[in-house]
Amino acid sequence: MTSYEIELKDRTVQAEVIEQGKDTVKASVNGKIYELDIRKVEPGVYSLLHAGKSLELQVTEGKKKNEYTVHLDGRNWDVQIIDADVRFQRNRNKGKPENGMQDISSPMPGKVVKVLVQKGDEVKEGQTLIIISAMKMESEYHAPRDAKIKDVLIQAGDTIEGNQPLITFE
Amino acid sequence: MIKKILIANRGEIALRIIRSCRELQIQTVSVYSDIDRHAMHVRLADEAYHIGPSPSAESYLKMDKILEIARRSGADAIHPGYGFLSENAEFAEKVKAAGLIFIGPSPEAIRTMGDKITARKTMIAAGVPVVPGTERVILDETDARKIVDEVGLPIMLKASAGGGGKGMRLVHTMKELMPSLRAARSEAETAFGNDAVYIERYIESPHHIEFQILGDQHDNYIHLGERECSVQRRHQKVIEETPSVLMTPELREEMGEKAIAAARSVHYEGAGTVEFLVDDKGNYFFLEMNTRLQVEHPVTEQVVGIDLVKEQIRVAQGDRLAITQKQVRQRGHSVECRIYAEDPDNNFMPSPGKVIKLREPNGPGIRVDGYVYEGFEIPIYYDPMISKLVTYGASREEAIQRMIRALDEYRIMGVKTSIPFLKRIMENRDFRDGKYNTHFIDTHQKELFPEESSETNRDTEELAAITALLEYLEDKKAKTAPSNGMVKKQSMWKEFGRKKAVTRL
Repeated sequence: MTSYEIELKDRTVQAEVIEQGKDTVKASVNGKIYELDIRKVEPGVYSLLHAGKSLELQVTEGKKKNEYTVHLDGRNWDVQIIDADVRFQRNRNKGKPENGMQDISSPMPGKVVKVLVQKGDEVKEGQTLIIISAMKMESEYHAPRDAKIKDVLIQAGDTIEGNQPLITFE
Repeated sequence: MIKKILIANRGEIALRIIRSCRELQIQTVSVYSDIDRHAMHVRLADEAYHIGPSPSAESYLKMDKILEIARRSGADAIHPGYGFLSENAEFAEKVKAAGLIFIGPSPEAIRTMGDKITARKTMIAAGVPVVPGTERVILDETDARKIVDEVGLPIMLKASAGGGGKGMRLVHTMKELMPSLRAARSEAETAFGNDAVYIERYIESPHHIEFQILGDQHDNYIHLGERECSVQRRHQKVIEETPSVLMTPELREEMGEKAIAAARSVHYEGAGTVEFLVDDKGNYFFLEMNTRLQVEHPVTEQVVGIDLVKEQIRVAQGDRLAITQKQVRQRGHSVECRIYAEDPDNNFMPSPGKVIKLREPNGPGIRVDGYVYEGFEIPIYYDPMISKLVTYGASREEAIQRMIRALDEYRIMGVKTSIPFLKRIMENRDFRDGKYNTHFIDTHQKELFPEESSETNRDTEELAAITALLEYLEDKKAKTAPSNGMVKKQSMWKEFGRKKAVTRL
């Protein structure tokens, strides 16, 4: 069986399906063995019995290629399977910023409340860059990494569209 | 008698009103914007009419358009819900002028309570204690300094036309006063088109406790007890409960009387809420009066057994209140969690989108006031609230434990929700002990936003990884399954027929 590289929230693991029966799965994650009784009870819904515990997981497609969002224990986990396709895509995009390094753009239409940085500023990871008001809520957008601001494309008071670039990094 | 009601709102509150109307056998008329054609309030109403483009300023806030539809549909009353036009005195006036019933208080009452400074003056005259401060707008910076000298630090700057935390600034030192004043003014100007700001003394470790009141057209008023709304994030309520752990029967009676005095001073009709700040010693101060149905009204309904929307409708058509203060009984305990389409792990970023899977909690003591369904796309144009999850229990402990159970049962896929965050609050020791005030979320950052490193979390994450891997392998198999370049589109019946023919079943 093939081993897969899987990206989790803040670590990458090596996972492998060792044995797959009709309703059972033996799998390993970074060498740790999991023996599961697993059934797909509804489309996208799995019932798992693991070490005597009954768990229900819901799986939906995520935003990125081969990414899945798994709902378990009242939480959502984003999981991405890094296969040849994803590697190829990433190689092709090499040099371009990607994966948390991209420029800041708006996920939805809204209004710019405040711009806290200027062109040429050095910002630290997590630093608040702009505040956008959308869906009646104000949200802060943070720097995804330490970076230098290449350009600020909007100003306070502007109405913005979904997916409109707001700030670019060098 | 009211026979047909137009509901000038959308989302869960429109559904909430439709439900009471149906039980009263009153016809319902919904209005909807471009994007809301598929929304539940359209599907559930007897009649529905389009009112304009998706942005609320061009649809749900269009007074004349709404009135025109009310006339066209033959509605005799308009229920504004909360938000939108619910506290707009001009709208209430226009409804009246059109010969229709506005389900809510008089335009004068809305106007008096809507302006915070007028409201303060009215409360002082009615003998209701207010937070020490000025009753007047700050003239200039010298004036501000003079007032602060009188009131004493810390102080709170507040927008006169304010609400929802906009234009508010907490000032601890004289040095912060001027920059804060400028910021509060500009924020008030942007949010309300009015930069008038006033000063109030800041109450340390405050509780936000509000009283539900009901009034009729015959000068009868009752209160239905309190709601504790101190769990707030950026001055927005997150969790509400009743009764409040801070309350004693004596304090309840006293504050209830003051709330009624507040209502009486403006001849209040219908359902309203008087908000107070209460400190740890039980000192209480009038904060503001909301002249509409509150988001969190269900917790009161659960413990007093009264349908507030029905009461609003009865009072609006001139009926007397059905019960007296002596008949009001609070039984058991109720908690409400507001479920938002937002990502608690990413600074509460709004998360609109399509609801792919939905399973709402059920069973004893659970009430879900929501409006989304599987396949529904939560629009970007309006409030991101998905539903209000309300539990009832014989005791506070039971209501909270039931809430944890209900949050565990709740499945919403496709959008991120505040459910994990709400569960952490319910499980928090201080919350469970009832030891919390409006600073709760700020002072419990560590517990409410935990670092992910515990062993169980790792296991859970790895199980999620394995399941995703299985789904991925299945997807891949489906994609590479042998087919002659055509997408398999046969019906199950055809396949069944073919199999039957082959195997001669």
